Amino acid sequence: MKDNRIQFQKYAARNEQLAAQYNKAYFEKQHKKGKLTARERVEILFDEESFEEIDAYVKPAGDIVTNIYGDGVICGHGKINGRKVFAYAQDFTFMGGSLGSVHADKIMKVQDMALSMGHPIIGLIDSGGARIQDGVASLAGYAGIFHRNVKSSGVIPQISVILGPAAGGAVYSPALTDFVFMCRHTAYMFVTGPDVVKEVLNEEISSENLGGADIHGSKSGVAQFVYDDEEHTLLGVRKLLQYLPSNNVDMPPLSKQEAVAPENPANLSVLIPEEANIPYDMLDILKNLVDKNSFFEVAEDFAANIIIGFARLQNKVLGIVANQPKVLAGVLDINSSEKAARFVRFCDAFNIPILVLEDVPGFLPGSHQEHVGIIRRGAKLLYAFSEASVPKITVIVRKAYGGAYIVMNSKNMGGDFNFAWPTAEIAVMGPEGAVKILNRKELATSDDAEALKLKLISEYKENIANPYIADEKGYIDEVIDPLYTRKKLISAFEALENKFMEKNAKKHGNMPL
Amino acid sequence: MIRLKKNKKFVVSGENTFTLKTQDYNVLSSRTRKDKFTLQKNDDNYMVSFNNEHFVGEVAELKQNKCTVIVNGNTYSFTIDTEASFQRKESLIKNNQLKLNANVEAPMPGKITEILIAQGSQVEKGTALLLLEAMKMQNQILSHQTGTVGKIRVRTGESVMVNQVLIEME
Amino acid sequence: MIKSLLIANRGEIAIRIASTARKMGIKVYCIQTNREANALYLEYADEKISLEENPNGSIFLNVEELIRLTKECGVEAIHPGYGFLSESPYLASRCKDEGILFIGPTDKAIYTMGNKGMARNIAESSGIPVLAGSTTNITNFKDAKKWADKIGYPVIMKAVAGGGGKGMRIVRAQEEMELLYKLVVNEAKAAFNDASLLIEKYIESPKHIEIQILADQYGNAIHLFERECSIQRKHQKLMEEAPSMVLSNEMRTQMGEMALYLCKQIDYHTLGTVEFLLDKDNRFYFLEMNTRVQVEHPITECITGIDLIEQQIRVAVGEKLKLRQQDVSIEGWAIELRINAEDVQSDFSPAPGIIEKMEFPDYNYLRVDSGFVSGKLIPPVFDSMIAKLIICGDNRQQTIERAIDVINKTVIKGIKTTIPFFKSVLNHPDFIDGTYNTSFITDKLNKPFYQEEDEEKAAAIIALQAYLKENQDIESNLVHEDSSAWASKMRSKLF
Repeated sequence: MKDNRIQFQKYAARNEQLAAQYNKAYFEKQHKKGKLTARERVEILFDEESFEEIDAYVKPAGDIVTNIYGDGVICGHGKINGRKVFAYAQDFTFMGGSLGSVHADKIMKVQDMALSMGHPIIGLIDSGGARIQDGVASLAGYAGIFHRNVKSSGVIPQISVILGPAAGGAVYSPALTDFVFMCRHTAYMFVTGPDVVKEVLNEEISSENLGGADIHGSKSGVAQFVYDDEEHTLLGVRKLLQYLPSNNVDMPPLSKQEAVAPENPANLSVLIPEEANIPYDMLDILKNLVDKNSFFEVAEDFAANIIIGFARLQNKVLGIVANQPKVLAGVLDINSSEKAARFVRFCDAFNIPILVLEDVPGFLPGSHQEHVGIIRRGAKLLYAFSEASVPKITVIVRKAYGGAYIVMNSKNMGGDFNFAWPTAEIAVMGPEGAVKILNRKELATSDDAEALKLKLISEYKENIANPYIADEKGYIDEVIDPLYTRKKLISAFEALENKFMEKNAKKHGNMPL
Repeated sequence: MIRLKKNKKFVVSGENTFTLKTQDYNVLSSRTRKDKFTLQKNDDNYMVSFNNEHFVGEVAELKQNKCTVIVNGNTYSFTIDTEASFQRKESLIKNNQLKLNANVEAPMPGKITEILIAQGSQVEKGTALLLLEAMKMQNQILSHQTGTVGKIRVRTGESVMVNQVLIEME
Repeated sequence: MIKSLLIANRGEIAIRIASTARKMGIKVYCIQTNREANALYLEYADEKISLEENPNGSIFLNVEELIRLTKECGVEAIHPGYGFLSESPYLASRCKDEGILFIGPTDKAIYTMGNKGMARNIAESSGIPVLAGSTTNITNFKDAKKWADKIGYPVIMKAVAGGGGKGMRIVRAQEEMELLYKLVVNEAKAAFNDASLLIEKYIESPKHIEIQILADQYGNAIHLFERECSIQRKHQKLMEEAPSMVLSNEMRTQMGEMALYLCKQIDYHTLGTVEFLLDKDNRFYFLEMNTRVQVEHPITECITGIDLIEQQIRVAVGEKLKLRQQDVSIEGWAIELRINAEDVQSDFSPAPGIIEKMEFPDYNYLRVDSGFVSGKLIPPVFDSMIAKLIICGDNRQQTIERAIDVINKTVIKGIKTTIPFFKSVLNHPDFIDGTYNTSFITDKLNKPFYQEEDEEKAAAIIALQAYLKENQDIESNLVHEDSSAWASKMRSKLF
């Protein structure tokens, strides 16, 4: 029954006006560009009818006269898979989604709320950049958002979803958040756009090739998730959140669905090729260890020589870091070190135990890597593993040579458990290199150097490059049968569940950046 | 109206394109007599029955909206879109915003034995770009488009994995 | 009879040889390499010799090492199987030097017949029709072009040392010569370490018919009829049948006798195969001779009831051939299907992987020769063949029907195989009426795999269903934390 009092008539009229704002033309404007509207995005992202908007009726500041409510951004909170999440969604249909001062205030308001309530925050970004009419107030708005990004970092998960342009200063909010999602063909990010690039460098490049989703997903490593269309991008965000705790105090969530063990664990023993230089797919091994269909890879196209992602083991969330022998023999280089280091720190900040699967021949040699700083940048992974106080377990599957062995969460760097398979080769360097150094003289004087080398390599493999020396010295806790690895890991992580490490009081360490 | 649960129509594109209706996360059996079918699931196998024909298939891979299914030993790869998303993509293609992936990838694992072109070469569709040795056979890797060769990402003698990018095309 | 035998091979042929040898009371030695330390063939050995392989070359290609191992273990004989060193005159001659029995021809016979030019000359002088071709080995492009121009296109370039379909290309026009020459030379170098070629007139769409022969050291020799191997792709045989539908008894006898005459010319005294091309008018031409046991030998065993490996061992140790030509006859029909790890939907490209499951129906008319069991990795370095299915029947029609049934009941999971291809061939009218030839795959099959109507649609329905279920989880699965610690932690900071 409608209340006809004057107050309620005005209330109803305002509501109708807001509803009318989202008319057919509003939707078509975006659809024509191959994009969804902010309204539709929010609807897909959140559980059905759970989104509550706040500040829907604000209007832009200053001289801008408009009947349109909202100032180009939808803010509010709702539930995702049953858990509370805060979000803002920029609306490109109003002044190109540009960031005016009121627009920025709205975003900062939900940022503040998410932080004090301890809930994740998601930004759906589709904006032309700073609102020129608002001048420095707009810039101050960005600064306020960035400052809150940093304050929230490591306290609540922050996710940025790029669904349109994000150019200039605007790119730095996503860069400060934990994960960046991008949608192919319609999303792009760059500090300076194609026009400026052309003017300054006389280089002709399209937005998509300069900062499209695939570029950031595979080359720059800015985006961790790339999807084909907006529906799937937003579903991807929902999927990621199933693995993340709401804040740094809570533990990661459990799924209501029962954990299913992988089907053919027997396969594990034959997955490692019997010849050391034949590559294989580490994902095959991983999928045979964790709960069925539970692995969710992060940044799969960037630095594919290392795999990172989330998985469940008996329903409990794990962060996975695994060398990928299929790509560049699984070698550690600058990109893979940085990719893994950031992920390890995320897991550590949010109480996610870490499982390392190791098959690493070493660090990538070469002047390019050295000159670009493999020393200081490779050190990041070392720092991250060493600093992490969550439960950390390594399984050495095949190669673990030299510095790379140390870095990949080795026992004396704070790894809680180090297991090795019988196929493991743990040594200072690979057989070929070692033999050349150890037996240089004999090889130089031998009549049949090739045959001698083979003999020496085989002896080295037999006597040195195996898991047993490390096992006998206690650097490996146990050499285990691949078949029982899952069982071992379940009980090992159980044993580590209440791990607590006292840390020295400090503002923060000085990580090599 | 956008949630997959409520979506009524999906476009499944493989070699051919199929438009299928769904309801509440299930593919709806078609009621028209011509292409009536039913779908059952046992363990990991699915069985689709048309009037008198039965097909048993399994899912080899499902990632995002890409799904690979094996039926009778044949492999089928599909891209799945909601009808709305499919139409948006169509309009992008019309506006020429959508470019196809132009990289040349290794069709099989093997070793690069010879590179037949150089960066900057003009090639036609079907031009041999490099030789890839697999199972002791020399396989020519052909250009699938007319264009200019960009960065060559492999060297002679290098071992490559399937789908590894060999050459970037411009 | 010998007491011990080293099998210088791996995979299904090692198993095949071991089975017969053990049945004959011979102790079987197999070589276990670090590449495949758990391979199935090792389970058929009485003794395993374990060793670390040189990364640059297989042990099965290392003559001196094989000789050393054989002597060290005191083994009397070596069986080379097919591929690897089976047609290496050097291994045969080193065996002779060291007093080891080589189960195969003399080094001289291998050398002569292994050289395509010499083999051709001998065939020609034995009165067998041969194709116009180069008379000397070609080692440079200029000569290659000269010969090709002289013979007239189309021509076929073959590695002199070639075999198994490797190192062979057809040139249809002069312009193609340069690139194709390069390809063949590279392939020949890589596969046989010998880049010299010969060039022959190429017959369009011939049939491939081969005659199995068996000879002892006393001048007794018989032929065991023909096999038809016209289902080929890039000169690699994919399926074979015996006998062939197109040979009359007269032709069968004529070709058999010619093959035997050829063997007599070179004093050949073991198992061998003489291959012929048959043109559209049923004229046949000598193609080459294989001086080893062949992949497709089981179909001959099936129609003659003779264990070829047993006969090969018996004649090698010097026994007299007990069989006379009139003792052997063709009983029934046999088809062999080579199941390869290949993606037939993508131009037969190699598709190695892990065999998650491999099951064949259990029929007394089905023989499965395979070097793999379920769950064994097929590494990308070896041949792609994972199993041979040999199906026997009373007549051709029944055999085809049985083969289709076998294929329908075969389950292989985890890798792509040639199975969909066989279904398509076995149901094709040209195969059923026997008129197929070596161009069958390129000319007659519009798709190299069998596909039923609505099959893709069924796959699409399955794909969508699987996708929906996955997303149902993302849209509606609830996740929960045990209880939120945040509130109590923050409250505790107040006081």
